[in-house]
Amino acid sequence: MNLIPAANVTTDALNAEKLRMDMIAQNIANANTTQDADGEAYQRKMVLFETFIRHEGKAGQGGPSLQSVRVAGIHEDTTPGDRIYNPHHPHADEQGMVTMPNVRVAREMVDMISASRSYQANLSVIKTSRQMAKQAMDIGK
Amino acid sequence: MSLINSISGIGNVITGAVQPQPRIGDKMKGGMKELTESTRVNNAEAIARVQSAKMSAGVGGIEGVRSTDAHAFVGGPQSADPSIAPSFGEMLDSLVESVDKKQKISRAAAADIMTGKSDNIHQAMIAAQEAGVAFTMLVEVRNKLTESYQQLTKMTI
Repeated sequence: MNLIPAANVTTDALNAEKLRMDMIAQNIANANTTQDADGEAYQRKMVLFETFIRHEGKAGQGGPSLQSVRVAGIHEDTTPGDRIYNPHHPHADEQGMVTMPNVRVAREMVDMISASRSYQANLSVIKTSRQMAKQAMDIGK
Repeated sequence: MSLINSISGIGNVITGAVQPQPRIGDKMKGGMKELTESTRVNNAEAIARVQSAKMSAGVGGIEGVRSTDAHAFVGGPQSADPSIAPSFGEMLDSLVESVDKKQKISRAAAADIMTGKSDNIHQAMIAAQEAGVAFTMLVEVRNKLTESYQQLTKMTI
């Protein structure tokens, strides 16, 4: 039972947005990684969100069950990265081409702004909900 | 002699009224009705009934759902069934228990952050806020109870 309205749903959303931010950080950090653990160039990762029903206590009694969000999975972007001619590079193949990661830093920065704004929006939801609960306590004062 | 009788009568009504009555609003109405109507002995009893309704209205935050009963209750004998309504002590116990549970959850979440098991700071913060709000509610309930009790004791016979 939550005194602060929908605290569980907002916590899930904050977790999901944080994971998205982690992925963006990983993408930007590996923007120049030409060989990862698989032996290939780093592929951009993105998170997929899905909604799931979070059963609050009242859901069984006919109240609305809240739809929360969670990370469905981490998906690899399979578009091939740029191939650059650099025969002296240690990771160059037979033709002297090096495959760079398919991370475009500008796009990742925009995603980062979006993730950060979503996180802030959820934070303000929690702050306002907490204020509502506190004002309800003040009824008796 | 009649004064002692009326004092013991009030005592009976008060101890009987400590168990929360479901139909709070109607009890208040019944008490008021008795106050305005009766010119006879039952004045003290009517006052005590109003006070008891007020006291149980103080914890009405918890029982508030039940008091919207549309049952027409004409200030007669207390028709509340004590076996259905939880006793006052049980109600307070369950409230304290839920506050304690929330505080345990908050402490566990903070410990997770400290030991590095989880890196979701917001989870610990939200759990801490929940525990704080629950505790504030407990304090408000206590304030209401003590205020009603003090008004009761100020009542001169």
